[in-house]
Amino acid sequence: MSKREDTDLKNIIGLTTAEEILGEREIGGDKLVIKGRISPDLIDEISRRKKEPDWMRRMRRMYLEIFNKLSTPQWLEGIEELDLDELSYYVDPGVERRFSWEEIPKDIVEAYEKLGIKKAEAEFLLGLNAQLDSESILLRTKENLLKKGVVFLPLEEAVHKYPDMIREYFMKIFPPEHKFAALHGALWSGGVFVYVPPNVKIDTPVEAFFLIGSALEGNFEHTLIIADKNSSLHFIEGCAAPRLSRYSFHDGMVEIYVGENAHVTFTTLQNWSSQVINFNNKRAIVERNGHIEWVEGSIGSKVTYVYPSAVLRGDNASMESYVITFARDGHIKDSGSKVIHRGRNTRSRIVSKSISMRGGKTIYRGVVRILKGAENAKSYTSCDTLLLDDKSITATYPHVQNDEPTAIIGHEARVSKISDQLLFYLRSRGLNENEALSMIISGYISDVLSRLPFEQAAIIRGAIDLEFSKYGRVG
Amino acid sequence: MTLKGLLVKDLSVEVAGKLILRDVNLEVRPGEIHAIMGPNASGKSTLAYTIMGHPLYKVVNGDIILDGESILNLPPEERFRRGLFLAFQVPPETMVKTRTLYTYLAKRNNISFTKILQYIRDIGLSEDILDRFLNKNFSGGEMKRSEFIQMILSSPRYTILDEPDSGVDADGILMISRFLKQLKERDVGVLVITHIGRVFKEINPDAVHVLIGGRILMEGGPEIIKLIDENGYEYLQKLAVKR
Repeated sequence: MSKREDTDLKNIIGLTTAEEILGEREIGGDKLVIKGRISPDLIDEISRRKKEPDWMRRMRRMYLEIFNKLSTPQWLEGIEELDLDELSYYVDPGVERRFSWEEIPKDIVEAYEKLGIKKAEAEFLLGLNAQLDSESILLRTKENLLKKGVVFLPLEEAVHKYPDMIREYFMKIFPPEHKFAALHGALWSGGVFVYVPPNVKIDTPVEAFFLIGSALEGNFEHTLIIADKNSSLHFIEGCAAPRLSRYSFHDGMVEIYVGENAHVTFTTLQNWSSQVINFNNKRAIVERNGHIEWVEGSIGSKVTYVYPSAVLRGDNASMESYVITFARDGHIKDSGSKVIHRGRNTRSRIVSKSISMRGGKTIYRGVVRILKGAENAKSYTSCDTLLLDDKSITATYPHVQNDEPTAIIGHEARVSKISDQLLFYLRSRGLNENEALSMIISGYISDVLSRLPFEQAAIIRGAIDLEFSKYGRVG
Repeated sequence: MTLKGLLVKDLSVEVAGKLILRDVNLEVRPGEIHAIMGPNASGKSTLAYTIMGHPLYKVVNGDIILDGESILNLPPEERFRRGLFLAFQVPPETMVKTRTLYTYLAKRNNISFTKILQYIRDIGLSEDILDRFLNKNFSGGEMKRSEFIQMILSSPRYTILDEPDSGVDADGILMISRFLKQLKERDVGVLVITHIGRVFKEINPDAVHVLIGGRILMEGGPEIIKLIDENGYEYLQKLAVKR
């Protein structure tokens, strides 16, 4: 292939994935870790290190008790190697949190540079919280963010500065209803707290970026967002890890409180390396006229369980959820969206697009629950799967329960395969097999990608491109 | 110096273990228009797919030579890059935006987007085709026109048109006929696969090959088209056997 054609194709599809960019080198230097059997003492030690108030320590202990009582969900698969006793639950990256890139060790900055985070921060983000392992190492905020009264802090700091708000909302939106959510409550470390005051609109995104630097880490960051009346926010969550020698375990949580008339867009670009076992618990509560938009781009990881969810509590509250998942080489993506309609005229729209290749498995698991009294609620779900070969697997498990006779519920599901004839057709137009596949996939997810900011769409496109180009030069 | 041309030599082709083409020979020089005519299921599309390199069509004997070099072991994309184009009879539905593929083809030949829009208008398509998935819910006429646009954007040196006249109205036939004229003027070698030969209204082919049952039974000039038109393929078949 000539150089010029390479460039042309890049224009169509984009750049590269995080694992590929970061390679095999662990990130960060000497790290202090807390490991061993999960016990009240271990919890106390984490709490002590964070110099937490006693209420938070007690809360952690309560979640530990719940964790010990709950059993592991029966339907989980692909987590056989997960041995909670061999993980480090808290990994201090050994770097104090700073406010400028210059004060952070060069090799760490390099990782963020390679991933394009530093550039993004300079060019289009209003705020950035960069976390390595269990702690925030960099907090950048642009002046007009703070001037407007927005709070954008690592959650640990918010516990000290805004104890009343944290006490009121922390794990209230997402109570520890299953084992791993409870474990998260006991071990949480890192993550961001955002508060947007009434009538404040933040049009430029803020981002939290999470890096797991080494193998056998447990990562439990917690993001809590409160968007007050008539406010708006676009929050981007990104994550990445280098190729690890063994697995790491990510069990994060996102809680979003969307006030009356408020509008929150939460975009995730999950780009963990293929050793990471990933649980991400995400839920929003939406008040009257409020709107939550979830965009989930699930590219990396070995196994992922993620279901962006919303409780539409107030009248006219709405949720849109766009989920793109990509599973390859025996990896599993179990995802979907869940919504509970409680208010009148509430609306939800769930669009899921999954892609399975080379023995990857994608599962759509969704819940639409309409409670009695949610008059004229409307819910629409569309889930599409693209199977690239016969080894790949997909399944759809929608769960719909309606108690409200005036509700309107729609559900569509499609499975598509790529025929030999289609591949031949595109190859007869000068594309090699892998280029043809990436062009097909780009088209397949184009209606979701078109909703993303350019930079994010480029990352997803890039991940797809890399998947195919890697193997594409062989033939 | 090697002779320019698309050469099909003693070609026998198997599909799913079944022999479809036997000992087919063809020689298309730049600027020549050849018609491959034959009834349904005579192996016409098999010939087109095999020349373009469809992986499911297995060459069991013979060779395909493009400008002096065998292309038998080249994948379809490489055959395209060497100047070969195939306009499909029924192109498959895709999940690719029409804009994406058109732009991709145009870029290879430094054709501007404005020019793409002009081609779209000239051929009688609407611009909104660009934002639709290529070939998905296209009408018969849209498919043919879209294949022609892709051919123009690809500027091939040899092109195979697989049944360009099927499902096309009178205006469409006239358009294709004019296209053939232009291709000839630009010195492109053209292989037109058809079973009725309606497209040769404004221009006669340089040669006609009649393919029946996977073999070329008769070859000659435009007079064969008339023969087929008036008597049908069965008559030709008998004629050929008698010989």
